[in-house]
Amino acid sequence: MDGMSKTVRMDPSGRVVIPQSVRERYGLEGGAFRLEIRESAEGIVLRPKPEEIPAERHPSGWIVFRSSEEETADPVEAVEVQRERRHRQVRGDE
Amino acid sequence: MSFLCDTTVLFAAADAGHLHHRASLEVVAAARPERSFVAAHSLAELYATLSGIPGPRVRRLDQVLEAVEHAARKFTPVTLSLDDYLWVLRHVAGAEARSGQVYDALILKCAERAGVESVYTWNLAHFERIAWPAMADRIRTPEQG
Repeated sequence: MDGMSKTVRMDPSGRVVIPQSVRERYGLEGGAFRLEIRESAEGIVLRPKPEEIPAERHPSGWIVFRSSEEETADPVEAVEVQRERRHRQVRGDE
Repeated sequence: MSFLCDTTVLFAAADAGHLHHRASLEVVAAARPERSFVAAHSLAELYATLSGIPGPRVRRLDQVLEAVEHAARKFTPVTLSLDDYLWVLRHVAGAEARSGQVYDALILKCAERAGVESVYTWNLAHFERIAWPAMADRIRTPEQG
């Protein structure tokens, strides 16, 4: 969300916690993530820098992604999650 | 044999990590446009599901698009008329089905319009819940053939 502003506290070791609402909005849930730290005229910019799930072309021509067991959702659940996310966006909850 | 694959089958076929991957890939690999169909809406759902962020790693968007475009070439996408949409909405309301089940009903309507013999899905419970008599006995998982 452009213009969103939240204040967090940094501990003496330099650690900060990104608020849950922000983590949800940027899909930063379910594990550890890489974040790019960039300096800009306005200050420090954090940008999610996720690694990629490899993919290859099956002999039949289909693209097949190679996700890990932890990343694998039941296909029914995976589709339902996207539908529910869309409903939340339409309702203005997200 | 003519068939339509729903979004869950397309998605399971596209990722080797899924329990149902092998059976799904076998079905989609046999797809030919003259006898294989997909709801046009499923192409958008496939993009949405593959491009979603399941965890620390993501699928590259150019590869996601390639997967969806390949599906659009190997299957004949089916669209619905406004009358079809309204018929489905009245049907799901009459069946007291709520929320996202309407999308499965729209996919089933596409299957009816295409006149397929089989509708493949991993979501038998939802499809059987919203099926109407003309379509009820065509719904099966890829494993059921």
